[in-house]
Amino acid sequence: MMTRLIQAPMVPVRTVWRRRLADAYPISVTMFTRMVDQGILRPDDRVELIHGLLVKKMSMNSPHRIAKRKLFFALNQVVPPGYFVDEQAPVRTTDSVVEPDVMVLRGNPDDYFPEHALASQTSLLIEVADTSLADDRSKKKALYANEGVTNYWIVNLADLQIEAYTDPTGPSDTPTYRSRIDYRPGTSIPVVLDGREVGNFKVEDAFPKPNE
Amino acid sequence: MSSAGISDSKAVPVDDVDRNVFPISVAMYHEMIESGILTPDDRVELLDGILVTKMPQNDRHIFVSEQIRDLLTAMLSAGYHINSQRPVQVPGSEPEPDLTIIRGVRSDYLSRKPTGADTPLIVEVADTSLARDRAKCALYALGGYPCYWIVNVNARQVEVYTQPDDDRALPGYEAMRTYAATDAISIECDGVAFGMITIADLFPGK
Repeated sequence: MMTRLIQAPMVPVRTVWRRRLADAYPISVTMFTRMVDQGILRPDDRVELIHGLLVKKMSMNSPHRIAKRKLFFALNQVVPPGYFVDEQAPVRTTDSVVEPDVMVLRGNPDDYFPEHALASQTSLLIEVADTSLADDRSKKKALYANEGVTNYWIVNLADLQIEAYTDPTGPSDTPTYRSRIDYRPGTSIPVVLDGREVGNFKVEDAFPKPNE
Repeated sequence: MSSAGISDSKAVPVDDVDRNVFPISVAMYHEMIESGILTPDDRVELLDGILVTKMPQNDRHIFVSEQIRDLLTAMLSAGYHINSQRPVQVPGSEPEPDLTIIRGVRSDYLSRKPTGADTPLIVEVADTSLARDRAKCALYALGGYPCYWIVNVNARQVEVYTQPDDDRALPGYEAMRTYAATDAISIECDGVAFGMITIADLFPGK
């Protein structure tokens, strides 16, 4: 058999490996939960499951931590019996497990054990956004709107406002919230749980003081 | 740009998610298998920290794989064995190439998986997976696999990649040569030639 002469000069081949997320094998909520239970994923890994993919949570800087605590405190002043305030606790959807910064749930913690609450069960779900603002506005907002989370706040540290999103479209090709109202320091933000206004607090009480 | 999103009803920009992907390490992957979170029914590979669905094999793919396997088996000595779709080591990944020639006997690898140093030849048969198999050059070069074949079933030719550069930032092969159906390729392991394969013999029909 004849071997053809070498045709083209040999050239270095540097094909870059790009993660082809469209081919990703979806990790189910059950698989993710087992990975956490078995210690394959640890709390300090700061990872969420979003539409079947493991996604890093942004690490929290000091303003983020302070805002979270102040928000938690402010909500606890107004949230009535029959509800409780939780922070950094997982909620699930059909294909995701995420940890909103703060949320308000009906009932008490025992009602949501051992299975985590569904995102749609929250009466109020809040993300504090600094570096994560783009993600919280797009990816997370779509996820929560798709799940029918009725009340979604973004505490926008960079722009010093609380963005209150309501009236989710529910499952859709482009899920979103039909209504958005922004609340700035100098005003009060109403806390509405399941259609009932239970109180309000001053917007500036949710933000770190300038020297914090 | 890859196609948008993982599930079609949630149009998440893929680049954004890629930046924030939490990579699954090889150790985590092994724990998932050991604990039964991943079972043999989950047809996956670990590629650069992501679980990737293995492409289903059609009849042509199976024919070509088995044809290569038969040809190589006939010419290799007892100092080597051949694996099909068995995992090999790459930093950050655990691919399962269609075929490998591995130095030694199977029992040498009971407690570890082969590395680039153990594997004179890696073969991927590319029918629907050509783009992915070409992208895998980066992974196999990173693993130091000295010779990587992509058997392009549709074009009836074989791309041969040699001289891996395992540079962490930009791994790749220094040399690539394409063999057409009328060509013959020499099978060499560790500098010893074992025989020639005519490319046309790899493919069904004429």
